[in-house]
Amino acid sequence: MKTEDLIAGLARDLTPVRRLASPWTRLLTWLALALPLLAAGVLVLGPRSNLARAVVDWRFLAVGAVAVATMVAAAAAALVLSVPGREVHARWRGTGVALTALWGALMLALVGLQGGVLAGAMRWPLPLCIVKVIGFAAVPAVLLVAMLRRAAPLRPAWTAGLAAVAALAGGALATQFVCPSNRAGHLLLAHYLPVVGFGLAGALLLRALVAPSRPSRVG
Amino acid sequence: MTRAQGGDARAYAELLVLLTGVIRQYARGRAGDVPWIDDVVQEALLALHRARHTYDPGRPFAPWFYALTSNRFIDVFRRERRVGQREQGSDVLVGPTPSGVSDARSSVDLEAVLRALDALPPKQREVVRALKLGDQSVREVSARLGMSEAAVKVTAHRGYRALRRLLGRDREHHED
Repeated sequence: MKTEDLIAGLARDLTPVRRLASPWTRLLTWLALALPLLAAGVLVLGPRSNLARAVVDWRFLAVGAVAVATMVAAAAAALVLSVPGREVHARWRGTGVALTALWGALMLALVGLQGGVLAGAMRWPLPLCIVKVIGFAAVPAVLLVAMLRRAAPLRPAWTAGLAAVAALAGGALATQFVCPSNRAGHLLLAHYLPVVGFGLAGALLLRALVAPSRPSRVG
Repeated sequence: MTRAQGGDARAYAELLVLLTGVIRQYARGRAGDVPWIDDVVQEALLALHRARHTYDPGRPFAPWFYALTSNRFIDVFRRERRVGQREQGSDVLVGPTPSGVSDARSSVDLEAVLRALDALPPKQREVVRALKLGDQSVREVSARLGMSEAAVKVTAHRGYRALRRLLGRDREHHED
């Protein structure tokens, strides 16, 4: 096909489009949907019995704060990345990765502080909490992927990975409110590591979902 | 682009014509005078069309435009490199017919191949003849025809595809 014919065809088929909202508006929209969903999930499963004591524990608050920060930064990075040319420097991606790493460092520090290394990790069934993290993350992840698909991510693996980390961080945050364990080893293995592990898996598995469809070969 | 987002087809066509030159210049600047420049131009135009709703009029146009264009350029560049590598592989795999093989089937096949070869466009015919019948290397053909090595590989690849198509049709015709 000649380029002139392609241009004529594109102009002929042109329809008005609804402009994509800014990444920040979309971030707020996602948080406005995801946070109530996570809260509803906590209410359905039932908050942990020792919640009143946990919320005044600095460790609970520190882990919760870093989970919220990771959730917001990773979602912001994914949404910024989904708009062509919007990410001038890799600042947002860097922030998402750095916060995930900071969360890991905090967990390791807490494991060190509590002593006994990972001995207490098995006290509460690990698979149950891993399933909860994923379960809580599922709907926010679907919402975020749908929002990313409406844009045009040019780095699908990064975008998908960050979206998965954002949703899983939300899942880990919600799990913290239903899991009665305070053992740092358990929090590391059953709450934090699924965020990293399934975040990486998300980069591989979801990248095809968020990628814009490739223009078919012309000519 | 803002007017195009609102559905102004005339402004859109003018913009795309303008951008065609910019994309072509961008691709030439990065890859030189390669035969797949038009592929980059057309794929970039399609990508711009599909992502036009993501352009924010409150922000500069260039970063948005170049992000999409460079993405399509890299994609086409990688695809063409793969084609080139496959060509090199097939140059090694498909050697000349061993001497002494003169059964009826191979002579019929050879006739069909020569017939199909004659039906190719002149440039493709010359490149395929030189590589496969003349036993010349890609470098020799590129020097003789004044083409880049990449252009020779791409032309040869298109020629092989056309041959396959022609031979497939020929076989169907014989089977009927």
